[in-house]
Amino acid sequence: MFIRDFLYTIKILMRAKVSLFWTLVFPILLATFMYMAFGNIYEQDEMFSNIKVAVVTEDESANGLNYMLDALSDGDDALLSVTRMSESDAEKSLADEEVEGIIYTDDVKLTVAESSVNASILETVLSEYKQYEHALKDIYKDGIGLQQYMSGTSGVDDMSNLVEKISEQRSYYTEKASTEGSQNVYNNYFYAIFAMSCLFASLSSIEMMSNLQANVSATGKRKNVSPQRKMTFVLAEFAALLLIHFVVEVISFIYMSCIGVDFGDRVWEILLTLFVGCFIGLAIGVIVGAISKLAEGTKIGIVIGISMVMSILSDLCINGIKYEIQQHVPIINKLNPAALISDSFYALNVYSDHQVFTENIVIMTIEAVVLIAVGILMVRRNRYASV
Amino acid sequence: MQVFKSFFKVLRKYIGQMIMYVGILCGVMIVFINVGNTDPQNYYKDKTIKYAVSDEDSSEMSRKLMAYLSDTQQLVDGVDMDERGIQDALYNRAVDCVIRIPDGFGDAWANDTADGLLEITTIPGSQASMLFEARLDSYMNMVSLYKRAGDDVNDADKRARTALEQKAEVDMAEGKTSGHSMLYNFYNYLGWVMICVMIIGVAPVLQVYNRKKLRARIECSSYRFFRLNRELVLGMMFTGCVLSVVFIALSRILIKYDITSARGGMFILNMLVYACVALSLAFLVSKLTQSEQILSMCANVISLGMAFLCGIFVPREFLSDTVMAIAHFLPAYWYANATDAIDNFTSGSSVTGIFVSMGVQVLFAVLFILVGVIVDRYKTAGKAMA
Repeated sequence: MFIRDFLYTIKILMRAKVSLFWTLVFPILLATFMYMAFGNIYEQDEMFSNIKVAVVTEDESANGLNYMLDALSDGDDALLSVTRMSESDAEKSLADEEVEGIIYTDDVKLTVAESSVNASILETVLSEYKQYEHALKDIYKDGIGLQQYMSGTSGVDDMSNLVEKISEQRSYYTEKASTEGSQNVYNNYFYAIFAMSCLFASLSSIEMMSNLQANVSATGKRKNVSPQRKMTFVLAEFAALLLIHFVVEVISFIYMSCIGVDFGDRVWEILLTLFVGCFIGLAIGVIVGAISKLAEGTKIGIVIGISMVMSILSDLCINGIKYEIQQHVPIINKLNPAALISDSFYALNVYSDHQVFTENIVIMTIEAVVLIAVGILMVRRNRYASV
Repeated sequence: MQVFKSFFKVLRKYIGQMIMYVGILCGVMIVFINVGNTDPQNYYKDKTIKYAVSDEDSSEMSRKLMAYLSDTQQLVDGVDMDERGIQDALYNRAVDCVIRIPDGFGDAWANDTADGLLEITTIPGSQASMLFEARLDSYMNMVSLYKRAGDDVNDADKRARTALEQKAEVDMAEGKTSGHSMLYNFYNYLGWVMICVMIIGVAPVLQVYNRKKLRARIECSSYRFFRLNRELVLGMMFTGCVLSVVFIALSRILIKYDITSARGGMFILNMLVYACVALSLAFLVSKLTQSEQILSMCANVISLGMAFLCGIFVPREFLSDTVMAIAHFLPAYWYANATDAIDNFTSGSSVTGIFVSMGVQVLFAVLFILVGVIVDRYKTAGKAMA
């Protein structure tokens, strides 16, 4: 009987197009849209690549800044990519966004198209020249041929000497990364999509609970008059729902990995997160579905509302909400199943150990077991008056 | 006007959902206002980097360095300086760099052996880390230069700071601005909300009049076909106008912007054109399906899809060329195009581009209506044959 009910539930679920849409098609489409939109941001907006800059020089021999710019644009990992051009060409290139700024070497001036980090880097480079000019004048007030350096009249060797003074700066820091995992903060959106679709599994368990209650559905009436134990129905149908929704999440995971979302290499742990995520999603549906006084539409409205609010709090719409909650009211993140699912993905990506991940999985499992136990207690041994 | 009246009786059922989307728009705008989004700037503003610091040295030099960084960059307090705290803060961009000044740094600097001693935890290769590190090294090198010239820590710091105050002149290119106005943000997000509201609110009402039995009853009544359609169109237009007034009022209340200005007027005109597109899309969707559930799917997929691909949720400069090429075939692209041009509009600039974008939207509206009519004809003919 268990096997038959299990297989029938799978069949029914495979034909439930609306449920499949919200748990499979919608997350996949949303992930695709998000990937198309956010796919380039991390590389383009946050990561550094050498800054394309136009350099306008009227008198090439008269300015040490040209030597400095050459030094900064030399080599494979150069800071700048310098193109020398006329003023009108430079302005056109800036307007067409082919360069990020124009450096006028004669009067140490910069023109940019927007206030950006790259514009500030250019400003820092250019200012550094003026700062050293000031410092050297300040230090060598009595003169050691600085004016000649600056005017270029002392010849190339002397000019190189000055550039050497400036470019041979020491580096006082050592840089290190905080993690070996991806630092792409936009991945939070994809974690939240998984949280949302896991919680949408609750739509299926609401229907399961309706079909178990004689005062809610015709199927419930038939099941209640059958000699079969109710617990067998519950276990068989719950197992089938868990299996199908887990498979659905795995399909989404494979798809998102294929389009290029970086979830890291802890695949087994991610699969466990998805499994427990489906478990808690179904558990939410069980407890809401057990409230026999509510109409099915109302129950669906409640679980969609709960799922969406929880998912939004775990960064589905605006990145950073989960972190802010973590800073101010961390207990909400420890109770919110969507935040726990999303945080498990995050912990697997960023932390080297499994402590936070294990905590999250244990909390979700306890929450799910409690919800299911309460739900079953609510519908257990119900007797219906003959009318 | 029976049909006109019944249109609103049916619409009443969906007003809750429509209000929900208007509420979401208000919520997004309140977030924007609170994060201090400012008007577009036509001048250059230097970027500063968010950082946290842990000074294990507490020497005079380390205090001078901390004071300089605090004066020139954004010091973020309250970051847990343990491994997880730093990982969380960096990943969530609460800070861009975390600097640790190790014990003995001051002495090492005095002995000229401080190279590489400061430890910066960051996202290697990021623009923010490049800028922060460049500025840190600028200060350290300048202080060291003065120290080599014979100054003590205090004098070296003082003179280095004076030198570092020398800044290159930076101009913004003519006609270029950074950022967008709040009004732009409002009308930009409206590109998503408008489609949702129309498909969720208006399309199910139109579906009712497509029901086979109701349609047959109306067809055999004395109510003329032309009159039925005229009143449905009037109902749609009235709904569109009421919603537009609501949006205009909201933009006025939330942003306190002069809607009678040329820019405000163009934003409103563009919104009205887009409302027509959204209504025609609702009409088309109502002809394609009779299921309310499918309607809800369509509303979410179409509105979110266009919002992500057409530069409503994400600035266009971050979208790939392929995505931008696809977006040309979507009406929201032309809406966003016009919104963008209106935001950058100045009294001397040309309005041709803005009106071309509006014109393309009108063409989309006409196209949706034509396809809707063809689908309806096709379905009706099919039913008649059956």
